[in-house]
Amino acid sequence: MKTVDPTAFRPMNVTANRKTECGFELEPIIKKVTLDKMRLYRIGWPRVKGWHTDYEEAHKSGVDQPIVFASQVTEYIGELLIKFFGKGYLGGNLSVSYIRPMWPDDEIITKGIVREKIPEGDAIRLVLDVWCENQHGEKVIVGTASGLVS
Amino acid sequence: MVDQVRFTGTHDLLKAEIGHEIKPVEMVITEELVERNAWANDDYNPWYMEDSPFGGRIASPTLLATETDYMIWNHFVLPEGGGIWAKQEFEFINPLKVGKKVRITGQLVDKQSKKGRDHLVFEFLVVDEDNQEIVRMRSIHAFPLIARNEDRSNRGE
Repeated sequence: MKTVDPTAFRPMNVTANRKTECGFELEPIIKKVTLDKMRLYRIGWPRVKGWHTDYEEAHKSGVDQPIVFASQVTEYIGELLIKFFGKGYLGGNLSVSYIRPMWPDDEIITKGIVREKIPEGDAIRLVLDVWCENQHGEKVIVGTASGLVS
Repeated sequence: MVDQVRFTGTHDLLKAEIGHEIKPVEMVITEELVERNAWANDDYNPWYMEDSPFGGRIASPTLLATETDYMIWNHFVLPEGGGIWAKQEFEFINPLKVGKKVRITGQLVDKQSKKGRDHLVFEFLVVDEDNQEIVRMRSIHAFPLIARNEDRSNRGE
């Protein structure tokens, strides 16, 4: 029986380079965010029981279920950037707006597309549109990012 | 059984003035922290788990965003009605290396009222023990969770 190591690292097939053209679509990153993963994300920090990790606390706040941490899904975009730019993520930036809540067991697809190439000294800055969609095709996070190609 | 630690903030956020500094935090970027973050996010980049071109393991570039959330709520009291995290910005300057102690400083830099909510803007700077700037962050939080009706009606919303 063929098995897949869940902790295997999968690099992108195509990474940022000087020939990357505007309109290039980065290989998307697909994740399922579970309540276990949300709790694991939080438990590394001070142990706070709250509406991100607990149904009872979520109900007290007027929502049906815990809300996924915005910063946790932002990590998926960070993963996209470091996989695409490699060392060139340094000197880069990221700006995101959180436009819809995300819920346990949502499947989050993180995408990026090259929008602009800007010469910067000997390097090239690639500017991206980045966003995350849920399994319904709704955008939940939208933003821009950039990194350097030497 | 694990004790639940509640936030300890005491300052009134909505009355805070622009320039109000948040109590700084110092922390070590441990292997445990980086590995737990990898498990939580299913991101097992060898730069985090083994070694990197920067000499040693590094942490995810966005790792400390959630720490700024703790900083805010260990300094300010969460306003009645809760709030939402509306926006986050990062400027990646140097790698966040495992084993290094970092110091995070932050302050309130802007306040605006729009669409029935108070929008508060914070800026943070992470500097490591070698005095290298690692990442600058800017976050916008909006209060309350459910926008106020009166402001919406004023805008015809």
